[in-house]
Amino acid sequence: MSAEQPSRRAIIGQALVLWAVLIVLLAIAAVTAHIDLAPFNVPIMLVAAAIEVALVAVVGMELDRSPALLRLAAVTGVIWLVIMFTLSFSDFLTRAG
Amino acid sequence: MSDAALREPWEDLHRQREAARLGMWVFLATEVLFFGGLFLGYSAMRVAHPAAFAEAARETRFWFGSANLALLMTSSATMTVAVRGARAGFAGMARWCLLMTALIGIGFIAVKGVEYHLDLDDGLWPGPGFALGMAPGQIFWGFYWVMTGIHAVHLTIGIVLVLRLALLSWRGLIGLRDNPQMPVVGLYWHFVDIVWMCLYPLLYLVGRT
Repeated sequence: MSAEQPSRRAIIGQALVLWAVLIVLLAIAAVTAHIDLAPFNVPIMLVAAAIEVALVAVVGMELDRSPALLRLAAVTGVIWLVIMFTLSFSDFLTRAG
Repeated sequence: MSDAALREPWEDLHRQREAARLGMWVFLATEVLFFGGLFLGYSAMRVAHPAAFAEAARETRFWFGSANLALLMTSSATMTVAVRGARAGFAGMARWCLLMTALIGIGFIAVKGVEYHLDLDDGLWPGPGFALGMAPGQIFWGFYWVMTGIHAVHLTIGIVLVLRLALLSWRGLIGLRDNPQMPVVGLYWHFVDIVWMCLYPLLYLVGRT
């Protein structure tokens, strides 16, 4: 079932790119956390973490080349998580002031 | 050798691999909810006590947490090479990358151990004699110990799984190329890395300004 046979070089190259992007995201989150950016500190660090997670899930865990069944199984946990958070914070999110 | 990995009821290794990956993804979905409960508890408490949480979080060791995140990011890259290398038939490269991945994991545990030691020296264990005094600060540190502790247990299991694969392969007892255990262990390892990526901002970056 191996459609294409990547070379050693290609495999290592892709992993190095993944690693470099992850480290840059870590650096962005770590540096901005020490600068007062008023309301944006927490969103920046959470967005950086979300991109890191997505990169590892898509590239490292190969969701980009997985069958639909596996992608569905992967997304279910996240869907229940979103429901759990949304319902738990429904009062906090909808109350004005 | 590759047939040795084939188990009932599958007719070929490809189907067995897909089934094993599906099984691991379903397990990881339950893990998302397991850790999700802790993240939810943390979030609810943080909304209730934002100032105290920021103050308590300032006491975590930024450099230790950051170094450990960099270590796990590196291990994600080596694990990616191991899984893809094994599939492409580069058994030697896959074995060495498995070994590197496990060693990086052990490095993480070592850093964490030193950090725990320093935390305890500073009186950051919730309960009588807690250094920061305030109740919400104790709640933050309660989450810190529980979440990082459970993560460390997961990582230790991952290290054992990865070392086992590397050693069995080195001794010629299993092949890695079509072995369903390879992608399954890879998925588990990446998930443990992902958990730390989520823990890092909540425990080490909050309240630094």
